[in-house]
Amino acid sequence: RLEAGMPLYGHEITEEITPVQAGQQWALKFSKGDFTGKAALQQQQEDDTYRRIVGLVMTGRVPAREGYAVLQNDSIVGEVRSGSLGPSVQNQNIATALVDKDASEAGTVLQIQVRGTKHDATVTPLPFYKRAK
Amino acid sequence: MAQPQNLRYSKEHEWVKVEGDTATIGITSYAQDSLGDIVYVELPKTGATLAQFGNAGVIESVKAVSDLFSPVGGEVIETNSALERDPALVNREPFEGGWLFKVKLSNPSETDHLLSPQSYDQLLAEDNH
Repeated sequence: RLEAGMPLYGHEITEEITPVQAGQQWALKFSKGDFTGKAALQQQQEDDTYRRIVGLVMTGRVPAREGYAVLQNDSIVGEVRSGSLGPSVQNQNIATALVDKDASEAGTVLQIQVRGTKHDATVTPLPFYKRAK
Repeated sequence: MAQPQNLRYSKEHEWVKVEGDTATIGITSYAQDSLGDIVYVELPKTGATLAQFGNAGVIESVKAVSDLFSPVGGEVIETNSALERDPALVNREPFEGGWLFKVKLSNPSETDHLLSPQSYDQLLAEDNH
């Protein structure tokens, strides 16, 4: 599910991370009448300043684990939400992270802090893997 | 489960092979099996001095991060570079190609504090009750 870019509740979507932040707009119908949180989600979507879920591909082999800090120029810009090796994507070392908007563009090189050492990771569009049609 | 008879063992499920004043260290087959698929091994640096039962690095499996301890004290003289490319070697050959690092023993009598193959077997039997 990580390779396919699917969110898992408790990781990419939580009580603190909204479907808007997780890039799950396809599941939100603002035209469909009122629902709990509608106004807040719509506002968040319009403001477009929220931290968002991105895919990361790490350069090294050390696994990214949930909660590890994500840095850009030595400042914390987010945190890892999931991480694993991706058997369907040439065994790349992949992760998802919740990061600031400014650090979320595809191709941006960020660092993940693992036990005091920084490891490069590149922002990559989700999903990592798509079945050939 | 019969353990290799020429090795000594720690309660942290590491094995030690002593040859002269050099000790080769790895994790037991029971340890690799409990960890599951090993994806990353962080070993001490060559030249580093380790204390007996002190921290020596980290082993990461798909599921968890586990601390690695050195069952003997001494200076690290070699690490298994094959594990950088192929950490799963620890799963496949825990007692052979999957060795972790070698130390020059600072005090050979420290091996007296380690378990014999029989005692280690007994420890595993108790753990499984």
